[in-house]
Amino acid sequence: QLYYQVLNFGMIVSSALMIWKGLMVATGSESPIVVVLSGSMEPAFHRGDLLFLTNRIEDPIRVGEIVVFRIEGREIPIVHRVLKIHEKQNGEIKFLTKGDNNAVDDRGLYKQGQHWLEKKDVVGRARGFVPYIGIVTILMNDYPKFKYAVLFLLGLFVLVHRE
Amino acid sequence: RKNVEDFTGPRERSDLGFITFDITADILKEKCIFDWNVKQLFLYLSAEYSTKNNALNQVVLWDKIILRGDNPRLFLKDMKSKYFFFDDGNGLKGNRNVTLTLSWNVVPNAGILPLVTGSGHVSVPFPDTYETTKSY
Repeated sequence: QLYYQVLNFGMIVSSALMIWKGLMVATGSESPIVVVLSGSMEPAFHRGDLLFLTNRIEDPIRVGEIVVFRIEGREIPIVHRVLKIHEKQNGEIKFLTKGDNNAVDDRGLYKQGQHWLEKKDVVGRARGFVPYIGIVTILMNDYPKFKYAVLFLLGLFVLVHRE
Repeated sequence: RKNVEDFTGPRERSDLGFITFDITADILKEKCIFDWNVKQLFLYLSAEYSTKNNALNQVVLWDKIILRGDNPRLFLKDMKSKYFFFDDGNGLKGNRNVTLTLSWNVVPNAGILPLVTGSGHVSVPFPDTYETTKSY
C-alpha cells in the first residue's frame, strides 16, 4: 500500500512538471507565470498578483505593453510598461520601460552604462492576471517557517489521502 | 484636435521634439467600457514615425490612469508632453509623417489584459529647422 502511495505521489509531481513544461513551450517563455513583487505598477497590479506571460518571437514589442524583463546580472524579474521603442529594419529593437507608479523611467534601474533594453532581456509579455494568489509565494519567501508549514501540510495531505 | 509643434535642440546630438495637444474623449460614449470586470484604463498618447536610423519608432508622450468611478470625460487643452520626446538620432527634423494615436490598456479585476488602439489618429509634421531658443 505504501508502494501505491509513493507511485501516486510520483504521478502528481510528474503531472505538475509536465503541465509546467507544457506551459513553457506553449507560451514561449521560460517563466510563464510570475508573481508581482513590488508596487511599481499600482494601481493596476499589487504585490502578490499573479501574471500570465507569453513570449512569442513573432509578437513585436510595442509601446503600452506590459513586459517582464531581467536586468543583466540580476535574478529578479521586473514588470513594467514599454515607454519608447526604436526598431531597425532588420527587427533589432531597443526599448525603454517605466513603472506606472514610478515618477521616472527605468534607466536608473538598468545596468551601469545601459540605456536600453533588448529582446534578449525579455522574459515575457503580460497577457492576463489574477490578483492576490501569488501572495503565497511571497509569504513562503519572506517567512521560511511558513514554507515548511505548507510543505508539511502538503505531505500530510498526500499521506492521509487514501483511496 | 489641434497640435502646435516646435522643437529645439539637438541635445547630445539627438532631436528633441516638443508638441502641445488637446484631447477630448468621452469614454462611455459607445458602450460602457467599464463593465463589472474592468478595474482601470491606462490611457496613453504615442507618437509613431520612421527615420533613417530606425524603421519604426514609438514614443509615449503622455499617459493617464482612469479608475473605475473616475470622470470618464476628458477635456484636456494645451497639454505638454509628460515625457521627453527624444529621437534616437536626428530623425525628427523635417519629418512629415509623425502620427499621434491614443491607445489604452484595459486592466480587469482578473483576466486578460487587452491593448486597444483608438481609431482616430493625427499626423504631425515637424519643421525643417531647429528653434534656437525657446522657453518651455
